[in-house]
Amino acid sequence: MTPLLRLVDVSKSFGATRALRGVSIDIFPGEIHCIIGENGAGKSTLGRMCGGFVRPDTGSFWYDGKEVPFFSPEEARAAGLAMVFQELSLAPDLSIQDNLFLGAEPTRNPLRVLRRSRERSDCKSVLDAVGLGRIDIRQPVNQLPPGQQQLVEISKALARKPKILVLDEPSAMLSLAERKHLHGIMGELRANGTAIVFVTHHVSEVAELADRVTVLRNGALVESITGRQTVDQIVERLGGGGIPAPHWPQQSQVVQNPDNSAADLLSIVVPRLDGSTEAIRVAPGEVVGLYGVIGCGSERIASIVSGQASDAASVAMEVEGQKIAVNTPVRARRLGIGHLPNGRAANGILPTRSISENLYLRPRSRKQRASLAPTGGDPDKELSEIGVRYGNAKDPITSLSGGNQQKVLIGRLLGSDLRLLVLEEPTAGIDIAAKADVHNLLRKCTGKGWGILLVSSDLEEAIALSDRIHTMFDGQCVRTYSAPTTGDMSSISADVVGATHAKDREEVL
Amino acid sequence: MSSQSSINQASPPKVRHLFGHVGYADLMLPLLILLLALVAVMIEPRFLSTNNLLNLLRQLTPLLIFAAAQGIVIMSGGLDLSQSSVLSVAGVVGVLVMPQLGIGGGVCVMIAVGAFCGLLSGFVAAATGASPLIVTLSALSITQAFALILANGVPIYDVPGEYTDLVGFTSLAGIPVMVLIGLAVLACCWVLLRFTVFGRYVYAMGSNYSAALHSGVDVRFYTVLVYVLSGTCAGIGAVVVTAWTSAAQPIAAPNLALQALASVVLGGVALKGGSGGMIHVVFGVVTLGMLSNVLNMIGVSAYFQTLAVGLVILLAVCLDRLRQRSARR
Repeated sequence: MTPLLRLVDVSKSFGATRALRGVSIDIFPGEIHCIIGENGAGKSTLGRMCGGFVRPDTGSFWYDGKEVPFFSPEEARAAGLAMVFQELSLAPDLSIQDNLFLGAEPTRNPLRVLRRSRERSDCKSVLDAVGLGRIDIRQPVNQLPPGQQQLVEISKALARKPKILVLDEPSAMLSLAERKHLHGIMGELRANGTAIVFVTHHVSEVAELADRVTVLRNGALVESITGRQTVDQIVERLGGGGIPAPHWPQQSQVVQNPDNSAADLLSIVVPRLDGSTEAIRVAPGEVVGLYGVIGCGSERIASIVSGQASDAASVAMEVEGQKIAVNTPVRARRLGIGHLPNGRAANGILPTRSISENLYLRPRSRKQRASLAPTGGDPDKELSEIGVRYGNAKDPITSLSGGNQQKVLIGRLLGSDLRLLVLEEPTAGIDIAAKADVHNLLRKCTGKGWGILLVSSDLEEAIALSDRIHTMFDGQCVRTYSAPTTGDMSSISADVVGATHAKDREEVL
Repeated sequence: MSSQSSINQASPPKVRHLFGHVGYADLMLPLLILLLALVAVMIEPRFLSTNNLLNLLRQLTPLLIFAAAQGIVIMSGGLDLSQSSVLSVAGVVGVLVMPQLGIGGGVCVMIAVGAFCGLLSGFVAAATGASPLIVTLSALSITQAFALILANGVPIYDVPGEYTDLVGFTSLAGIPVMVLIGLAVLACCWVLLRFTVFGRYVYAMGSNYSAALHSGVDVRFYTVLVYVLSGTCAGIGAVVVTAWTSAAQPIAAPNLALQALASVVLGGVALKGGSGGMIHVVFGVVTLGMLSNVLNMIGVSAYFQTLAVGLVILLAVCLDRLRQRSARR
């Protein structure tokens, strides 16, 4: 049998990050091909490449047995490819019906009257298939809960009657029942000869559905396996892998705080997978890591602690022993909580301003407030203390490398009077040397008695820095690892892809 | 934290309307309009006379035409600041060619000039991806300059009498032709928005541009179309205004575009795009029009009228924010 779609030896870089290196994938009609890997392994890039939304730098593309130029999104659509996006492609104000047929009208004539009654009956059949048969198709999609929006997104792809369906992590927002339904639909499509590319990090789904599994790690192909796999087989390949993990210096253990009587800087209660609750505590001088895949809930905890969540009051949280709802970032800052958000370019730096202005973008002390100078203190002294390599403090921040920009952002926090840092992906997209520098800066913080809540999708980093790691899955805490080592890696990987979950369930059943 | 909501739940019933979704909050403006009418009748019983109402409609017509177009532009996620000056240049050019091409030719030229200006704005906005605010601001200056240059900076009073009589002062079945033109524009916009592919794409682009792009909508083409529509309406506005004032002013109705913007927002069309309908435009236009009509009757000075209009718009914006916040809960 010839594959319907083949990507051969494709590579893709985004700036300095190599998202994919020399990956090949074959997609056959009537098969579910799962792409699995950890965060940043390149799964989504590969999925979007199949749908024509990412153009590879090198490699070749075969469709229906012939080598063809890479598809544009339009060509992909014309060839019968449909894509379900991780970040939905729905227009929130439009009705379900309008969304389902958006861009799929039989005519391109703008003045053509919409065939709403025909669309309505088509709507019914497609929505029936995903279990939304009784929904009011005239209501705008922004009034639906996230799970149902995801189902509408899936129906939108189904309405195009695709030959190849690419699903990019479609189950993140679905409840168990909805997920089961989706699996049923995928089974039917497979029986009808549709080729399905299923990008996921839920290992139990792979074990349940896959006819073929492609395991990715750091943008490279670990293995492409044919046939159904068990959870353990997949986890083994995910964690073990053919590619050795980069060597990390074992942590120079941070100043341990043996005095347990000292009040925790932070305590926040999170539901546990087994139904009980877990209090995530950060003591002075401690680094506590939250590890999980995208959408696991660790970002939400970070946003609650740093005062970004509007419903913070609904979570039981204590700061230095006081029950407090941190409802604004300003309040968080007054309590001594500093936040390093994810996404340096979007949420961190002021790209059009200088290095020193970026460094001094922090609340001023009382003494500084009296001064009119845009910056306070001696930027050169501070910058050299945090080890930034720069020419002139008045140069634009964008003249620095990503790693040095990141150090400036951490320096911004270091110069403030804080007690607790919430760090999201502190070393995302920076090189090894800069990573080590950032880690040293963080150790300096803990040395001063500050606590750190670390949200990182880099497992080696989380292990190297943390005194404790809480693994997260589906908004819940799975397990807690005290003084984690690289030996815990496979167990941690299994936790966050839901393998622990799946096994627990098997035992219950 | 996981979503365990039942997926087969039927949705709660909603107030529905031929014009789209109309919630309870949308009833605020009609109530305000009724209140204004009541005040007007109490002060001046002749307010409800056919004559006065037709006169009111006539006054509202240019604003209605502009607001209908501006509404569609805003729903698509754009903005058109150049409407007034496009009207001016279209009026000037149309009246200048009227002696050669006749009345029909002149009218066609006015509409064509408007459409062409919109085409240029739309093309620049779509091709460069620049903010429509800047693009139409520059279009405002450029078209204004052409209107001044072509008219030599003075109004052209050389407008054929038959033309001003026909468009400005004739009535068909008791309704002024001018008002009929305004209503026709409104009806066309309504049909476009509610029943055509164009309308669906306008809402989609305004609601989530990248979703529209990912769904295969030719967003650039439709951006151009939206501005062509707006320019065309400015051309139609030129037909009405030149006939009514019996002159082609190089700076005609300078505040009309901003008033149109105000009435669209007042009516409840979200500035970020993607929602609202012609019903909201109508509410906004009628409220704003009646407000100044009633204030005139009471004898409030023009200075205080401007103040009142500003306050009403501010109120509308606050209400809109409250509505959005409660909708998000």
